[in-house]
Amino acid sequence: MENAEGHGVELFDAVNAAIGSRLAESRHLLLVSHLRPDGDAVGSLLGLGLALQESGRSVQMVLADGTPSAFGHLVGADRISAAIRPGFDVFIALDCAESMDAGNAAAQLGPPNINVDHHASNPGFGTLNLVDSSQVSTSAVIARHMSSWGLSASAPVAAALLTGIISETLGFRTANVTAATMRQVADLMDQGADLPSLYLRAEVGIAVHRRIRSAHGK
Amino acid sequence: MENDVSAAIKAQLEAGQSFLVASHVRPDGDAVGSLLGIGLALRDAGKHVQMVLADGVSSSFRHLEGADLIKTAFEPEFDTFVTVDCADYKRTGKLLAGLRQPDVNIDHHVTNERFAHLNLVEGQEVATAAILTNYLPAWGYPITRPIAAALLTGIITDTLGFRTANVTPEAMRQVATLMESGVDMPELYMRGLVRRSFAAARYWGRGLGNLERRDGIVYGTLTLEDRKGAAYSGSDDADLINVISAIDGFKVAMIFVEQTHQHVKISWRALEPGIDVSTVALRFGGGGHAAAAGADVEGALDQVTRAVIKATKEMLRL
Repeated sequence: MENAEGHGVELFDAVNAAIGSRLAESRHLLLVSHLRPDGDAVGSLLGLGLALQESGRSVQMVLADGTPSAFGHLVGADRISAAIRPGFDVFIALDCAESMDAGNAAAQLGPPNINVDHHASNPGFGTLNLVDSSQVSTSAVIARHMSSWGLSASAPVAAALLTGIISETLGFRTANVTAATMRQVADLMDQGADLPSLYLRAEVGIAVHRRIRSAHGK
Repeated sequence: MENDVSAAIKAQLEAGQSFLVASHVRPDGDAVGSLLGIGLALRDAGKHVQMVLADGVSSSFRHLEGADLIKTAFEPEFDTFVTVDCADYKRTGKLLAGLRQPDVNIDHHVTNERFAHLNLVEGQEVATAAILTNYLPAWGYPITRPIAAALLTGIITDTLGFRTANVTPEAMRQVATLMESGVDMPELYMRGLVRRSFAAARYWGRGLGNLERRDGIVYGTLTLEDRKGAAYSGSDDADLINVISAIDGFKVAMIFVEQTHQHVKISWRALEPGIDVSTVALRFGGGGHAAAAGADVEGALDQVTRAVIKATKEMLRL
């Protein structure tokens, strides 16, 4: 698939339709993101995972390295596990750029059914590949496309996705932040994400250690 | 009520031919951004405009188009006098002391003293630049790319990069609209809020080297000696308060900046919700917001520090 820099949503119509029908027939999903998870790994995993759970599906959310305590405040963070259990009909990789860097257990499963990412370097290792490099983060890719999969963003979903955007853009300062990004942020805030409080807790700049410790309640 | 004020300001700006527009001493990004925003808009409309900052434009904002038009002196001939981002008149500085009452006062500080004939004060807005973003088009002044860059700089700096508690979805959409005029927001962010001179970083080091903590307050001090030693050219804190505000375990962060002629400039930042530091700033003749406030107090550094820390501790016990 060609990189989507500057192209509209319609470029993804075909793959979105395929992802939508794959999700529609799914009952048990496995979602994984990458090793040494950052805010976008956690945010995209929780964002899509919670949205699928809210639509009545059973979802395993897996980070082989576990969830960093800095993200313990996000709803659903305690539902992320480090191990994969058998029994899923759809396998989704999120924010895994170069290849399946989601850990050995995930790699042994073979290509994921769905690969969602924002890295232009993503080779498209899934059966269905949504690689939208016009977006600042994988959580932004999900925020942009999830309605076409029949999913909506509740407040916890919006908070997870916004956390991914905040941390991947270092607080809206990277060169790829556009007016569309800011409108997307405004929409997530309308859906219930509390930007100032999520910003304080996200891993941005010099405040990292303070936030990690406050996430521990110290 | 605000509609009436807005209509009256529109008429006043229309009638004016020669403007004096001023903002506050030790100008931050919102002072420079809102000054340039309205100043360039009036110039574009064919008016004669003098833009004045008593302390001039700091290096963090000289990249803004029109910054070279801002002067530290003014000619006494003008028919309309406008202040932006000034909570009280004396914030404009000694340069403008004793001038006639301003015609128009545009500001977002809740503590604004409404000192002009027409006062447009909107405390819920994130920056004075945000107020101008809303009203300039309604008053008939198009927001060109240089004006958008100035206004966006005011919003970026006053929200510390969209992170303060008053940032709303509307504010983010306003930012998007300004970005759509073609300005490079991340570049403005880097220049206005992140990049600092070598001298400023050395100056920070001196302030961080003498950090103190007392009863939930963490504070630093910058002396005239520190300024000289670091070869820092400004009379402000080089935004060291933002670094001190990241320190864990305190209710309030503060910085004391010694000024010439026995003055001390003080900044407060509330580090927990529910604390209103503007109350203690008001006690010392300053002002600001619940989360961020400042004052300029006459006296020797050690005496002022003692008195202000004592008052801040009292405020915290309330």
